[in-house]
Parts: sequence; structure tokens; C-alpha cells
Amino acid sequence: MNPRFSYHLQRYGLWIISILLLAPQATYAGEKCIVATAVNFISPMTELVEIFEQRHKVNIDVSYGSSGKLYGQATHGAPYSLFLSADHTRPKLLHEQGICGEPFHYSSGKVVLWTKDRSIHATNWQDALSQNPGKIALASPDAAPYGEKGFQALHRTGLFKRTEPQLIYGQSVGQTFLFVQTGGAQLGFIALSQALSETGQKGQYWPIPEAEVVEQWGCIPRNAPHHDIARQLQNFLTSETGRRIGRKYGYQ
Amino acid sequence: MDYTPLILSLKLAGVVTFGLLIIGAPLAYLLVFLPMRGKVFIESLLGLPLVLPPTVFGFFLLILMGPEGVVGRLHQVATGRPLIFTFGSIALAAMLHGIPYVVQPLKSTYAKLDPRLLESAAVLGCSRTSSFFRVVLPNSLPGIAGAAILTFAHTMGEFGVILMIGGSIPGETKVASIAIYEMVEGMRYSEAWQLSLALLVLSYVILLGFNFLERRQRYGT
Repeated sequence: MNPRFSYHLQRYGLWIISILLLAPQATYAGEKCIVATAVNFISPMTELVEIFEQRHKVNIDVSYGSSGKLYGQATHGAPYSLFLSADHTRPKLLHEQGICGEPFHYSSGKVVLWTKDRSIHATNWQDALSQNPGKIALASPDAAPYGEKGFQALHRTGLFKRTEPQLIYGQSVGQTFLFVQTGGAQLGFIALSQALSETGQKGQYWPIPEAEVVEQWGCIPRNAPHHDIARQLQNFLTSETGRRIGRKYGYQ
Repeated sequence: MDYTPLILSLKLAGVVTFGLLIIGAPLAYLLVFLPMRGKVFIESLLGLPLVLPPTVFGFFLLILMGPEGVVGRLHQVATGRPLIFTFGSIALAAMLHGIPYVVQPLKSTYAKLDPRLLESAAVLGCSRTSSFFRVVLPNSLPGIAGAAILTFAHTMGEFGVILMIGGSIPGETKVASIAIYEMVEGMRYSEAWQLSLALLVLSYVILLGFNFLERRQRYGT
């Protein structure tokens, strides 16, 4: 081998290999269609995306998190093609900041009180709370709209003062569910969709009439890739099929 | 502005550093000086917290310390109270997570000790235990200070594990890092700034203090 070539190869070889390895991934990353979705919507979203992918022959990645975290990431330029929040405030703020287009309503969810212990006999959620001496899990009211509604219901019924020492806070309804599921907390304020999931059905839940319905809105970031796919997905979400899948998991 | 989370972080770091030094100092001694087979297995086990992602570590602990886990059940039997989501549980978790930060520097300090010191101690009739207290420890003070700095710093910045198992209870498990995370998620950016800045300044001052102490010990001024 030409010694000069060998020298260059040694000197730059690693760089060349790195670039060759990274290049295909870089272009692939640019082509991804990522949908940021609030954790509570995980069950219907999985089903919706599957149908949508088959119909339109596209590939969609869903990134789950609390609305607060996803919002923070969206404001800092995360390449989300669609943002599905669990509230109205955050998509509205994104719209006002010029990051997103007009917000749209895609679902209404309910917060319920859930336990995995089927032996508890309680007539309603307040009764279940007053019977329970253990920890009660709630999603952080700041970051998670389901936590906020549960928090409101506790205040409205005057139960907050009494239950406050028992409250533990999850970072999203997903973590809140995990806390109850692993037994760390006995009761938890979670989304009805979670209570209706396969794991959720192994326990029992009580509806909370005092809690406001969680109005879930989404928006399409202006500078994100795959504007057209995002628009189609929005239409699909709000279509009769989309709503029907949502109802299966307790959404209206 | 509520500085409870910051005070809680300090308390946690203090408790964990103190506890880990008490456990870590003899543990590192055993690992260095005890003629024992299979030490490498224990050493690798103790190094795991460095390698495992805090989320994985936290998830294991959540299950172990929960009311259905071994540790959680033992605690329940011993004290009558559940362990998880208490200050004790995050302190225990942070200690387990911090073990390598105290054991590694102490091991290298002990290994560098002049063997003649230990041999003389043995010749003069010191048992292993008393030579640990009378020879090894007094000659390892800079190393101990170094281990303390590392552990303290690591615990002040502990986040992932506490996020997994803490439950963010104000004054109990909501340490500064968690409080800042929640402020950012809740769009309370100016509060997040304030607390972050306070944490930064405080951490710097504490490290500065520790480093001064270590220097004084090293040069004996």
C-alpha cells in the first residue's frame, strides 16, 4: 500500500468511518414523523397510530410524556410533527407564541380514583378515600392536567386538608399509575383510560363527579417536518372512527 | 420563594455522606486488605450504580422498597410503617446509589498506604480492627475528605433515582432537583431560575469549603 495513503487512512480513517456510520441515521432522523402525546392517551393512540400507519403507509413515532414536559420540549424546538396535550392552555400558549397553528380539540377525558385492591368496598370515591390510611398518588398538578383536576376535586369537596399528608406526587399520570400498581400507594388519581386498560381492569375504580372533564387539545407546530401527515392525522383523530376508538377507552 | 427543597437537598446530602463514610470506610478496608476469594464479584456488584441508568436503579428500588418488596416488608415489620415515599427511603436509595463514590476513592487511598506502617502495627501487637482505627484511618484523612466531597456533590445532584421513588412530597422527598424539574414543567420559569441559581451558588460554596479543608489536612497548615 502507498505509505502516504496509509498515513492518511490512519489519520482520517476514524472520521470517515464515523461519518459513514452517522450519515444514514442523520437523514433518517430528518424523515421521522414524531407525535408528542400526553401519557393518558397512550391506549387509544397506540391503536389509532396502527390503523393510520396501515392506511397511509407511513411510519409514525409516538413520544409520551406529561403535557408539561412535552410543552417545554416543543417550545425549545423539539421536532414534533404534532403535539397532543391533555389541556387547552398549553396548545393555546404555543399558538400565541407563534410556534403552533390553531389548536384543535381531540378528546375529553375523565379523572378517576383507582386501586388495584379489589377487596375494598366503598360506595364512592370519597368513601374510598376516607377508608384508606395509606398513601394516595396524584400526578403533579403543575405538570399534569389529570393531577390538576384531581387536586381541584379534593379542594372542592374539602378533602384536601385531611388527605394532604397522604399525598404523593407522580410526574405524569403514567408514573402515578405505576406508584399504585407497585403497591407504594393504595389509591391513585388516574385517567379513566388507564383504569380501563388491561392492567387497570385488574383493580377497581370510582368516578369523580366533582372533577371537571379534562378537555384535551392539540396543535401542529409550524416548522416541524411532515406537515401534511400531521394534518391527516389530526383529521383522523377528530373523525368518527377516531372518536369511536377514543370512546372505547373512556373518552368522549 | 420557598427554599425548603434546597434545605432538604442539603439534609439529604449530609445524611448520605455521613452514613456512607461510616459504611464505606470499613467496607473499602475489607476490600483492600482482607484475603478473600471472589472479591472481584463484590467489587463489580458495588460498581453497578455507576453503570446502571438511574431510572433502572430507581425502578428496582421502587419494587424492592414497596410494601410488597423484601426491603419494604422488613421495614414494615420492624417499624410498623411503610418505607417507600419517606425521607428514609430516598436517603437509603441515595446511599446505595452513592456507594461507588465513597468506596472507589477510599480503596485507592488505602492501597497507597505504606505497607511498613501496617506491618509495624502488626508486629507491635495491633489487631486488624485496632490497626484500622489507629493506623489506617488517621493516615487516610485526605482520601476520606475526597470521598466525602464526591459523595456530597453526587447526592446534591441526585435526580433520576429520587424521581422514580420519591413521590415529590414537600419537605420530605421533594429535593431541589425535583422541585426545579416540576417548576419547569409547570411553566414557573422565574422560580426555576431562582432555585437553580441558589443551588449553583450553594454547591459552589460547599465544594470550596470542602476543598479548603482537604488542602489544610494534606499540607498540615
